[in-house]
Amino acid sequence: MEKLIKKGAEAEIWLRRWMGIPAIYKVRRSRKYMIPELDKLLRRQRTIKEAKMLVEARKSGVFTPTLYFVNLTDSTIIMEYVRGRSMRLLLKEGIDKPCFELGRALATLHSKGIVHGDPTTSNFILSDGKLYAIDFGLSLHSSDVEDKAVDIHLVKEILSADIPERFEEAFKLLLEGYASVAERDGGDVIKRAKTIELRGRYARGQWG
Amino acid sequence: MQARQITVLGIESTAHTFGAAIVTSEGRIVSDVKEVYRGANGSGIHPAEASQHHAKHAARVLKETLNKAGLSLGDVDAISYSAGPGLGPCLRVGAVVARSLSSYFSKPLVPVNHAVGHIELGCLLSGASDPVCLLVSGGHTALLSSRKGRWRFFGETLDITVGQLFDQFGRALNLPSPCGAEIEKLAHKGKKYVSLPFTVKGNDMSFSGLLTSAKRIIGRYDVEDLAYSLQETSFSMLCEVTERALAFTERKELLVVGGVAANRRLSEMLEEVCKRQEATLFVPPADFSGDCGSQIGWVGLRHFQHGFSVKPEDGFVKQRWRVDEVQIPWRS
Repeated sequence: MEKLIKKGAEAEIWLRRWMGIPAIYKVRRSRKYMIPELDKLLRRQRTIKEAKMLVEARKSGVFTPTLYFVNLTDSTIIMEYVRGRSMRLLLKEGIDKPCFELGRALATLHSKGIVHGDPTTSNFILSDGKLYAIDFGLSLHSSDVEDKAVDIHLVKEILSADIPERFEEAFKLLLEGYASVAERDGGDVIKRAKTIELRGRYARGQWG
Repeated sequence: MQARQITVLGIESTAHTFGAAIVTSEGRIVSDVKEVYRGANGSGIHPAEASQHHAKHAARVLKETLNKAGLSLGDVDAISYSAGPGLGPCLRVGAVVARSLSSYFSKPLVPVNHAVGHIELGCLLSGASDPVCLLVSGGHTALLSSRKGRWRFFGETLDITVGQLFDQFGRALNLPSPCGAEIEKLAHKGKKYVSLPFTVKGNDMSFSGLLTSAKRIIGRYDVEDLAYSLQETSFSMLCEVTERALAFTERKELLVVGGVAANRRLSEMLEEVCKRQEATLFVPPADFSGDCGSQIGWVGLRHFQHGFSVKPEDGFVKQRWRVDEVQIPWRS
């Protein structure tokens, strides 16, 4: 069994056997468009970061694939294969309800000082009623309102581009989920996310 | 029945360029003339000075545009102008010229979003039909794709643009603005990579930390190596997000437009990104990737074909006007 599941911008995702069980291999191959110095640095940094964060996120109370093995020489992470469907697919099928869980998951991570860094809808998988967070390559440790707010801003952007017709309701659901577990700074995070949006090029609101 | 050919005059004046062009409904650019304001070395655009520059050159640029096309104003079907986003004083020059002509010659007036101009002219000239678009200039750094009749943001800069990054770094080196071409030349001679912050947040990018870091180490490294490192770092960020956009949207065309699109290293890198995602790169000719009257004329023409124009007294100017606010009736 060996199957390329996804060829993303940054890594390839393979389904392959590991020690007799099906597992996900996340391989960060070298990218020819970058100079080798930068390419090597990013692959190494992100592999280490992702492996650490997978474990830490799980400790914080969010479902993540179990980490099996890390190989820095070929920037590969081997982890549990989570069967299920991504939020992106669910939204495409008109199922918005898990947006609440997505908000909850982000708030749970944030409450433990973890910022996902790339909360696109394809990075959350619903499996057996549990929402798994994956792809921690761009994550960071931070308790800063600004960093947390960027997470909210990013997921908002994706939702508005992906389901413009149902965006308002879906995002409201997400915020409700977020508020249900957020720490005291939850309100500030949401407010800051709005500020970040207004900082966007030529956004109106601040100066009319 | 064959549709009659339509001819539109486009006037561009959002920032440093005052330009005019005559464009036809066959997608032909009959003439395109521009005059670019340049500040002193080490300084950027002074909005008031730039607007005076535009006012001074407007009549001549218009005359030349019409002469080259062999037309008079009575021959055009509509007049379009860049209504935003951009610098207020500059925008107003173009708007005043367009409104006056529209009123005097009784021609329909079409306000155009400058960024839509870049994208749509890019499509016309490069042959891209439904691309992911990397718009990278002094005013924008964004990835867009059309969906439900609008160009929608996939990701963009959270602070300054790549054009501003290059210009502000160039100004710190006392180069003449806009500095893009000069930075490219310097970078070409650089060899040693100096590590600089690489900031991609999901589908968004941040360049302000990169600018601060690069400016802080001026004098400690060769200028060529600094320019090289700045260019490689910022372009790698652009490429990564571009590849994400291609992978996510599953579109097979990539269009790159805006002033920075003229940089050859950037197209070389994007070419490689396209190979990885089995997509095709579309780059408009360098003369038309930056600001010009044609981008305004072409989009004005498309809007006019779809029945959109305003009365001269309603010819607005919007300094802040996001691309995704504009309905594009010819895109589904």
